[in-house]
Amino acid sequence: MDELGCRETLRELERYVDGECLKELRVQIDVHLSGCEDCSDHAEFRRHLKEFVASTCGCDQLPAGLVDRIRERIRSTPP
Amino acid sequence: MASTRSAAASAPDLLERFERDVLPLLPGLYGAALRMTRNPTDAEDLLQETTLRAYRGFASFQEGTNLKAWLYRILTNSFINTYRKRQREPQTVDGPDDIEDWFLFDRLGSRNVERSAEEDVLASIPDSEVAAALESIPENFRMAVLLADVEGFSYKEIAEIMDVPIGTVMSRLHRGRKALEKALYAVAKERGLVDG
Repeated sequence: MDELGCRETLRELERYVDGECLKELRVQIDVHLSGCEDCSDHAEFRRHLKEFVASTCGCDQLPAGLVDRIRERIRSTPP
Repeated sequence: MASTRSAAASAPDLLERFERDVLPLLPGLYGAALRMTRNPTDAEDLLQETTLRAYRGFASFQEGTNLKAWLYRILTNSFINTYRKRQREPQTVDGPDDIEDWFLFDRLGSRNVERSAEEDVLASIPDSEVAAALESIPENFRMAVLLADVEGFSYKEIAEIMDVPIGTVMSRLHRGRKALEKALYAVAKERGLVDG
């Protein structure tokens, strides 16, 4: 298996963190990250930023009564 | 016996199934609607329209296929058809851009500050301002980031929802994240969380 360099690793990190790399590439990146502190920091940063966005932008409260209004409207609509 | 069941008899089943399967997904859909329209009144209207359209099409929806992606596709289409026209936001083109690839890392990453500092800086930004930062980036990029990072869709699902090739999804995600990093850094700077 070819060794992956920093440049290729950094280029693929976004897809890697998104879980969108094919297995062979994922394994190569795993190997590189385990031996490269700098790329591993980049990966950790990407992962954290992704989690941060999910945890801050994904918790809006539904306005009071909205589900009831929607349910009512659907019940009075012929399918 | 499905074959002899009349349309009138199946309507309550459809309604029951819709309420059971779709209503629990409303909080996530509302959050997405809010990020798209950027205001609660339009978000509520968009969600109403989306659920109504979904209900009308529900009889032809195949049970067992990806309900969540199907709903987000209706949400996205409804948004594009109705609200985008109303909001008259200039459309972004998928052309070249000028933000560096590791904008935030180069400023907050471990080479420049303590390991925990980057997390501290981000954690000090109120949720509402993170949401505002996401809302400030161009619409196509914002939708890609929203669908991938907040809703957890795969590239393939996002391609189907946005009706674009996977390569376009990757490009919009990449550019959307860079724009978001830049916006977050501006917020951090404004709040005095970083120097410069």
